Amino acid sequence: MVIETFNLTKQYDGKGGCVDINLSVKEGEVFGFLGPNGAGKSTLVKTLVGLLRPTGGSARVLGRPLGDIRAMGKIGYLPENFRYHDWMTGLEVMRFHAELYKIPRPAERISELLELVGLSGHEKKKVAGYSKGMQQRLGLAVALLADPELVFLDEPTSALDPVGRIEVREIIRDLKKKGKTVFLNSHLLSEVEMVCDRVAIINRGRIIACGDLKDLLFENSALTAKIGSPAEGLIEELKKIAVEVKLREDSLTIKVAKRDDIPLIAKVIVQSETPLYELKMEGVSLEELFVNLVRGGEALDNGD
Amino acid sequence: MITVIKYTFKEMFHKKALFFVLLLTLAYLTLYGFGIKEAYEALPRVNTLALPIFSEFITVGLYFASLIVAFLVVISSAGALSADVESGVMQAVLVKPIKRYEVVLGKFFGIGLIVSLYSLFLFFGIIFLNKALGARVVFSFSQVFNGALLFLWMPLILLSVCLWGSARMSTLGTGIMAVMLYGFALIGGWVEQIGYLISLGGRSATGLINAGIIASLLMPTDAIYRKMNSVLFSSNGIYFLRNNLLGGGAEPSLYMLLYAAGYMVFMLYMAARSFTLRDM
Repeated sequence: MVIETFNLTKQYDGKGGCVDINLSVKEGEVFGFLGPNGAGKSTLVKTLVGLLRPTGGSARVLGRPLGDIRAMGKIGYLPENFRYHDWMTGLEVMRFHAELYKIPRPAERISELLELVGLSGHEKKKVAGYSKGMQQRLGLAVALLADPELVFLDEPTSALDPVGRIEVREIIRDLKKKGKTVFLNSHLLSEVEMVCDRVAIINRGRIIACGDLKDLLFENSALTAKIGSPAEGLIEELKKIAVEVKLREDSLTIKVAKRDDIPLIAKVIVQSETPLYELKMEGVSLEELFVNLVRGGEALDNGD
Repeated sequence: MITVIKYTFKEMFHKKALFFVLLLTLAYLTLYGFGIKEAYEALPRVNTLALPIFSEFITVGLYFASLIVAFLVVISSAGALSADVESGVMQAVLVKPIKRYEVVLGKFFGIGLIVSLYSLFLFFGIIFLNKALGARVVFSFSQVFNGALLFLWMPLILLSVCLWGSARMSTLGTGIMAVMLYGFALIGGWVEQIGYLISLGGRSATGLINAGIIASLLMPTDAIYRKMNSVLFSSNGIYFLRNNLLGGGAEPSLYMLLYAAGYMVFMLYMAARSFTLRDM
């Protein structure tokens, strides 16, 4: 595992932050970390990169304890609220961070990254004159300087235009192709849906869902079957396969545990000689899943 | 750490405050030079009468020079760590393979290098102006060398205090704390000297002298200044500035010098420790 946390907790005077986080991020995956504003996303990332000291639990990053110098040399991090020395040029910022990473002869790597993030031609301008988007591009280039094994991206596209967002998505996909692990912290759900293999959703400091993105979406989806009058015993037969079966007039809503159960459901309906007019999967988008989980959590908290 | 030293040094040249201090320095040296030129022309030719006065003018010059250096130290180091933390610059630095104490020491050596060069420029500037404009004092090499080292030691002590503050507090809080401690040391030095002058008249002034010693324990810069005076202006066992309010009096003991050295190292240790434990 590239990241493993064991009841990791970081709170401020016993409040806020993130609580009892148990996560495992595998090598080479793009892991999305979602949550509403103030849910504790950045707190967790900052704790994992050693900027915050945990108040409970433990974690290992790249097989080393949090903040370990050997691990830090293999980590890239784009902070959410970042700034670079505004008296430096973009090129000087890159050189400074390359020196901090102790990269020998970094010139080629620097120009390659400036080209990648679209800052070629702007590298000799002072950072003070950069737009927010240009600063974010520079931040991304700095995060990738050491050709890191693990990259933490905290809201990497918040200041970018649509083209910039597409470019960042391509960079993330490219990192995945190279076998790098990406921990993407974002509240842009469409972005996460497009690039992430697995996701975790955090709300009020606690993980409320975690897993393979496809599985999570599947778990929250249902089969809808338009049928004629149901044959006797059909519902009972379906309940043996499905997790949940609801009949409403001429429509069956069936929740299944796994994808492979869908053909079985179709077979049971047909074999029971119930007329089957339509069978389709009613999926949820990540946005719907996210809203349901977050609002559901709040409703439970309110005692509903 | 070398990288942090290098870029801290570079950063200092990009600060407007440094140029403001340099302008202030030029204005000060011009005014001071004009003043001593006029004064020295009016002084008697007899050396025994003039020598203590030359010493007085030199120590006054160095006293106000040390205030300017202290000003430079506070404006350049109060935010050395905290301002970078507050702006978010530090977040990107501390996730690199570098220990936090290396950042603290890098800032100390980077700012300390500039401050030391500037202190030496001011120290030798004052001495040069006095010699060039007619002060008939003779310093040996060891007097000037040791005096210069003591002169640049004062801002380094203040720098270590500022870094400790900056490692754990806001820039504003650190600035206020450093100025108050430095002012406390100055006033403590005067109080101690007043006590010393009263005691010369045969009356007891232990309370005043002890108050000065406590001030020196809290911030030993003034004690170092008095040691510098004693090094510069003692000749054949005679100390020309014994009755000077700004920095005469009893010479600080060896223990006080050792305390000052330990104080600086302790402050740097505390700065590194506070910064290591600080949440970013």
